[in-house]
Amino acid sequence: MTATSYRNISMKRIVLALIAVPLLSASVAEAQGDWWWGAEYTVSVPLGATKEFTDNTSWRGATLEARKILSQNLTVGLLFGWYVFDEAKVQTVSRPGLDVTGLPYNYLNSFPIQATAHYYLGKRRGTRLHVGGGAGVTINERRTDVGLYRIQETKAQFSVFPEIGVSIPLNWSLRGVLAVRYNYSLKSGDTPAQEYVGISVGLAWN
Amino acid sequence: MHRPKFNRVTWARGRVLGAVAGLAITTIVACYPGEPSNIGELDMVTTVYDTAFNYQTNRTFFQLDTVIHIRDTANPADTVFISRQFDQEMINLVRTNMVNLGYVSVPSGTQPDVITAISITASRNYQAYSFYPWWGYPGYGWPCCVGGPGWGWPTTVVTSYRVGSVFIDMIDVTRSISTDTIQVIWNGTLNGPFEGTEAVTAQRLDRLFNQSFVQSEYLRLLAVSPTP
Repeated sequence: MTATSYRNISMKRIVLALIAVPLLSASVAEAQGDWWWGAEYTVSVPLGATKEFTDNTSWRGATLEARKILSQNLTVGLLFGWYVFDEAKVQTVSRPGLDVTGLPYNYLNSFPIQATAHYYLGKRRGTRLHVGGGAGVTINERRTDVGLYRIQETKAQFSVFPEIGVSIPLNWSLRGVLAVRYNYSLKSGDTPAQEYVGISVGLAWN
Repeated sequence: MHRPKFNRVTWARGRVLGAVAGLAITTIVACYPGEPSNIGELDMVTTVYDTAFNYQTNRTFFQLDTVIHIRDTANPADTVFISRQFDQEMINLVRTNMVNLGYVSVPSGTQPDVITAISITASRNYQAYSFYPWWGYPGYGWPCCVGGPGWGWPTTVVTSYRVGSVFIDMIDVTRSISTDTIQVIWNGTLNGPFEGTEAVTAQRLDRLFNQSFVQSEYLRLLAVSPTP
């Protein structure tokens, strides 16, 4: 089996997992009480080493969240994300005695899986500002396709994020959500720290 | 806002909403960006040089008038036929670039400082893809129920493509004679899929040959004064 076919299969598993999360979590919530669920479209702006590897703004991203309501102003939960960065630019790489020119396609697939906590300001049924953050693991798959060759590295990195956002009630159980998160994955071995700012727009419901 | 009493219909709606939102978002993400859109994007140019060699000592060159076609004599059946259609164009490209760098072409029978030679080879690569259709045969599905849609049987497709490599060698004549071995002081390797139309191939050759010299600026003779 080729790397491409492995990629296709793993992508499909991830897609299925992301689709399944709201379904499964809704079942859990039914049994456990007040939860908020969120599905967001996320645009990410790369920074630091992430920007060096994939300079383009990511227009392909999804964030799914489950938040358990602990009190009127506090929730804890889980966040799953999938953000795709890419860049293609003709480059000449030089080493002593050697120069190589090609068109490398760089890709970063970033999958954060994090525990979260959020604090809310404002009235429960009104527009609410929130601040929060999370910590966990981000699986970062860095891949370079150049010519007929592929270099790929997948690393699980400890990650954290602070977040600020706002949610607007659309009806009694549905809210529009806007959130900004600064995602930072710590350096792991030879894999540099990854960082990007994600801007999410979506819906939350309970 | 008044919240209605919780019931199963409410949760079913939430579940559907979640599934729809998740499906929509993950579909957007699953559209993979930035794959190569034409065959030329898979080309690579590699040049290797001797860091200890002073290229400014050269003034004249002789370009071999034949492109060497390398064949697998041990396994003739594996040899990929290469047309000589582009041989003269490749020779001209090397000659033009050498002259542009300040080298003087000498006729056959005159000893040059360097000889440039072109050789070419190709091989056939095979690649197998296995994939699972999203919605396959009824009755074998997961995650849905028996009789519903799900994953189908895996399908495997085998494709083949030709990969070509062109080598441009610069040989130091004086050192080769003194050591009785061929002394290559610079090599350019052009690598990519050996496919495409005649027009596209000509364009790619032109671009790749020129690139091999563009990225080898150290070959340029700074004070062009041909050896008497």
